[in-house]
Amino acid sequence: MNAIQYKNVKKNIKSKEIIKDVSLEIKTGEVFGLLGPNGAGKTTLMKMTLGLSSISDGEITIFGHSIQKDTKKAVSQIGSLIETPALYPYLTAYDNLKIFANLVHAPKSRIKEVSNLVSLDYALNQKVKGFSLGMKQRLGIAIALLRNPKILILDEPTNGLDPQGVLDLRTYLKKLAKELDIAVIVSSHMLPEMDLLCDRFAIIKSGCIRRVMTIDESHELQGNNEIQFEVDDPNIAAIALSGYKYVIENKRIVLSITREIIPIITEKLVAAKIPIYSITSKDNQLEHFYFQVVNEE
Amino acid sequence: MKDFISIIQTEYLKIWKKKSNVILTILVVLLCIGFGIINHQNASSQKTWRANAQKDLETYTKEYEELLSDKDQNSKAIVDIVSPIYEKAIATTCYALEHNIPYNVNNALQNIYKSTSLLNVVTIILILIAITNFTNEYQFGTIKQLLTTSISRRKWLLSKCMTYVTLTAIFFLLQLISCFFVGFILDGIGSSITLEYKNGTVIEVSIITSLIHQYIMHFIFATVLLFVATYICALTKTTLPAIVATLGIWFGNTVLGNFLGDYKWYKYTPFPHIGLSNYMENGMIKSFDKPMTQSLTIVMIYFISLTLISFYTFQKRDV
Repeated sequence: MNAIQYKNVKKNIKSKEIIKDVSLEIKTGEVFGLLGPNGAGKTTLMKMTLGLSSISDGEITIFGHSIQKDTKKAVSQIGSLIETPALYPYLTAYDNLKIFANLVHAPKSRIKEVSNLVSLDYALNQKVKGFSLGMKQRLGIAIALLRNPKILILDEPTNGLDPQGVLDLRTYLKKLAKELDIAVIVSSHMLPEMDLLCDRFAIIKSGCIRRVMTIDESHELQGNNEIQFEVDDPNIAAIALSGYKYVIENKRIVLSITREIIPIITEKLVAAKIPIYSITSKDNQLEHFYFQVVNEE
Repeated sequence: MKDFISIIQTEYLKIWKKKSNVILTILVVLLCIGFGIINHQNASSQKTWRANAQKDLETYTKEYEELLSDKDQNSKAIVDIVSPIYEKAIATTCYALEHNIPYNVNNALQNIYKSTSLLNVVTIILILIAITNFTNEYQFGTIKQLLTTSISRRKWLLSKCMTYVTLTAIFFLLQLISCFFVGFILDGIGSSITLEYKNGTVIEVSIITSLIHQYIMHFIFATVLLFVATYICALTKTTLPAIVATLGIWFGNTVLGNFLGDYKWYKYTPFPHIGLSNYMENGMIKSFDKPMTQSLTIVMIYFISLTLISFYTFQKRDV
């Protein structure tokens, strides 16, 4: 089911075209990544989806409700965190949550729920002005979740989060998408993180959608990748893999191969009774693909 | 309606949890106490008022006679300005003595009556609170979150205005109660009659009636200014221009009137028509006459125009 549908969406500011004819569908239950360099139009597109920014041409519908004509119904399905977390610094985390819970008519029990979800329950009575960026980010996400949204729009949600915070957020967003069938749209510059988080993504440059595909499709398109196999003795592994081009780096044998070859190599090593401790990609595949697309004219 | 109440509730939470606003509220109470003490010290007691009034009357009469006997041409302009003040003081003191109405005596009601000028200070405080409250939404970025709560922008802007209107009522009530208690503690309840001077005659005015008139007019005046402040905030998004523009509209006439007052077009600007003196006389609301109707019409035209421009811009603007 389409959660959001963009039909030939355009945005002009004065004579400059900021968003150029964007057509896109985002489905429920998927984590969708918006990737692109600074100024590409990611935040503008998110703001347009929320009715914060006007649409010059085309249409955006949220579960069939047009954001231009039926803003109230369309927006009521969305939780969002745009740019920096929007918070009242002189209030406590609880008061911040209470303000927005009141406005979206969420019960008080939901405040506790969302603060638990983002692991901020211990700081509810602290004033936000003393929060670290990571804590503010988590509070911003908690506010976005207050109304039990069917769509979650998060602009750079991992900004300021520590590795544990990033991992928790990834796990939680994936869970939301899969278990509650929520459409999650995320923009981020952290490509390795997006590779792990997203099901599908769009690369946007100069207001234009350059590619839309699943993470798996992008991996398949990659061609050869630097895959490293961690073994006890790479020289013995090299004998088993005669016929392939390889490089030995410490306890690793590194081969430049396509995705389909990985199970074949694994099979060969297993057949030669060589224990494999890890198989990792030296390149970040999404990063590799992103730069290919962004740099093409 | 549910949305309106929700917004107003949250606005109050934001206002009262801000230290500076609590300090300003305490300041209002302290000002009331200060005014009450000054009023108490400047007033005569129930026992001595006749003697004091007699003494004042002699002083006023002597000073006035000296002023009138001065043949210097340069003093003529001063005489024209000061004469009505002396005439009023002499007439009301005479009237008080003749009719045995305690003159310059303070009590709870008199204290509220004498402190009505404080309503102007309270209005300035309310303007500062409202402008800060509104522009903070832009400064903190919370405007984005607020406008995606499925409450329409029109309703949100209107709710902000309504919050400030109810806040005005609370502050005015706070001043009323504070002044009453300070006056009551220092001087008791006392008479509810005060003397006013109108068209050359002294009239007895019920303090309660006059207070109702003054509080209603100040409330309407403060409400209009707070709406204007909110609209300017919606247009400019920043604190300083909103404060300058709002106070400029209020006090503009005192400066601009001197330079531009002679131009015919100046009377079509809002400045000469915004002040309460256009609508009040001797502490009471004026009866409708041509100048008052003209002032009201001009203020209404500007107010409605600003309302339409602000709502349109606020609804259409990208956030």
